[in-house]
Amino acid sequence: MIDSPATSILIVEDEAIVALDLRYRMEAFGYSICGIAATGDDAISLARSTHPDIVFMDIQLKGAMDGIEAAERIGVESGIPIVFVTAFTDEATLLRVKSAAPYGYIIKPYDEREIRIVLELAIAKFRYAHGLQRAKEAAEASDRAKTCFLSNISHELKTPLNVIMGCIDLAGGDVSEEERREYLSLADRGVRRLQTLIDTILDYTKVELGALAPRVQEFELGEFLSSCWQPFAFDAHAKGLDPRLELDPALPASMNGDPERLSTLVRNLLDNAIKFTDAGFVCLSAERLQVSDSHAQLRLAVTDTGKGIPEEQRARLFEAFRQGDDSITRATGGLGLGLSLARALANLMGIRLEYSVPELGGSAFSLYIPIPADAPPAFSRHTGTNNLVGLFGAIALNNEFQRWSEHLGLRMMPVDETRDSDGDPLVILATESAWLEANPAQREAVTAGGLRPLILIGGPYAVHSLDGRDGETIRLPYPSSLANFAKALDNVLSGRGSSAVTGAAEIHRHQPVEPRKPARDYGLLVSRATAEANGMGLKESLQELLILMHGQSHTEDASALERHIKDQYNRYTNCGAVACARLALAYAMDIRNSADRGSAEPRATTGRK
Amino acid sequence: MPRILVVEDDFGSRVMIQRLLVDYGDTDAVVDGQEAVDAFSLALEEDRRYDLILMDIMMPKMDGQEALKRIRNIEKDHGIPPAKESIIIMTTALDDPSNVIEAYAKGGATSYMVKPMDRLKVRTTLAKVGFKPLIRTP
Repeated sequence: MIDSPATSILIVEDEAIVALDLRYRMEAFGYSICGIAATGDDAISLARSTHPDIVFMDIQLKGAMDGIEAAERIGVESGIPIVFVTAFTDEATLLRVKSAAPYGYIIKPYDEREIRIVLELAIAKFRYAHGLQRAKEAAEASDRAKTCFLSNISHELKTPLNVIMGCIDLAGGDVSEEERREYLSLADRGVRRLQTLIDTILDYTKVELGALAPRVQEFELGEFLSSCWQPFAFDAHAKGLDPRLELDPALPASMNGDPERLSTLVRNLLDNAIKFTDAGFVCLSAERLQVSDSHAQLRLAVTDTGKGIPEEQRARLFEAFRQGDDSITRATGGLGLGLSLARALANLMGIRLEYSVPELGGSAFSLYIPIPADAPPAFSRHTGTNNLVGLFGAIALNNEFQRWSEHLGLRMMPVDETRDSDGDPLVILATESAWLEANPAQREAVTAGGLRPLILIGGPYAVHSLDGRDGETIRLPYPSSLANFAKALDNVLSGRGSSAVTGAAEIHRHQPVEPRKPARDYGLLVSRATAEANGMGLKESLQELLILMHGQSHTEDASALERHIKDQYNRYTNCGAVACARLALAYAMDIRNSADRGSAEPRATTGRK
Repeated sequence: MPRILVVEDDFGSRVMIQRLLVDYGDTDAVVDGQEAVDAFSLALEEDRRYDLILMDIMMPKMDGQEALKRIRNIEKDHGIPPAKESIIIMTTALDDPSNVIEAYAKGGATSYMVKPMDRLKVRTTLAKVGFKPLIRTP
């Protein structure tokens, strides 16, 4: 009848023999006695140390403190329920007893049955009240979560809306064509972000209502993956992360599924990965797994080098509205819907969604989608052809391209090495930044005076130009999809783009970073920072910062540079190095200004006629 | 040339706001409240204070409300009279009253701008606190 473990009772009774009698009787009922106190002070300290479920309190005690006062103090301290036992029934005592809000009251002389009933009722009443309190707290917490969600949602929706409206408004003003294009591209990013959010909210609502049914159709896989990845590549790049897209050359050209739901799912995983990663890379990869002769799977994975998910949070990973941090200063933003929606959508489509921790840390979310075992690959292996592609400068995607080259019938080799080998490269592959760094003579030599086609890999925001029309260099955004790359190659190799190649003089996007006119006295800032660094043992760290400032190369990517400086700033702020932090901040602001102006000002002067 | 500080964590919004303010002065940009307070102190030290600060409320690390309070405290510590304080306009996507009241009553914000914003909204809000677009010589 009595719950196990046995209800524990603290007896407060100054008559030792009565206390002993009570103890035997109660133990006979199956209760456990955690202590016997003779004075009010003892009662308080025993209640504190033994945490009884209930206190059985005599009112008249030895010493200055009576049972009512002791009960009040215990009540305030721990809320442990009290049952009084007394010989007094006068009005004054009753009044004081009432104010202590006891769970029961027994008048001496008492019998066994009475003790039992009063104790049981008191415990039941306490548990009920306690449960009520907990339910109330839960209701309040859920109310807070709702308010927090509403304020999050309005922030999340309005931030991109703000960019869209502002940029469209700016684009409608008196601006150059180039600026207009830039405003529209910013607005376009905002629209895509908004679209992801709205899809997320709508899909989530439909899932909750049980009203979501997948709409299965055939869709092109390569195109699908790059459209998922493109807007996020920009965000990752802007955050100083390396955006990666790794596609298995053996992927099927198309597959059956619900492209919209799958896209919402993948975009939510990407959004999450970028949000929680501060350094390193975020990668979307796709590979084909041959499970058996009759079964194949497509594995889509979003991998990051972020902080990962602590073990204790993994169990609740896919719950709604849950983020590491809910305050207004949240570093991450977002609705907290992403993963719970991802799980729901995966279930809906019969896709397995798994979380794992990659070897090097961070997080990996994998989707396993069944595909027909005999699905033909998008790119059938070229046999016989062995076209030579010359790589100019370092190519970030090198590994990826090497992986594809076999499938596409290519051999990739650094341009310099091709001279000693068996032929001239048919195509030159270079990154935009390496190309801009090269001098005209180098460019001439590499493209054979403009006769050899050139494929440039730009940033994630590079404008596509796949067709390689006359007089245009083919430009691909980075990271590029296999399909884009193959199409571009196909175009140049089939001769359409090979007629002429112009230099990269027209590429405005990668203007070298030029520091703004030094508006401030860096000398003073540097000397103060140096004095502080010497005093705080930050000499080496400051040296690093100064090297970044002086050794700024003209091709260094502004956002990567800003990121480095920002890291230094944070480090100095955290250890209270005020002067060093100010130096870093001053420089970070100048980079932001020159980066923003670098793309706006030269055009503003030529554009406004 | 008036000096303007834009405090905004979202990259797109930051670029856009800087462009919207192109005709109002030289803008510096910072990305969180901590940076805002430091940039303010730096400018004070260099004796090139910001005439106008546009500050987002919801930001990582230190939010706009806290940064606002700290900036006003620094001004007080330096004996800058209220008439010479920087004009601080809080910008936010949230227009719930509690935020507005906190910014005005406790924080000492000069004005308040609810996103989304465009040229008209910027012009109207800035005109109210005494800023007009500069006429640039070509």
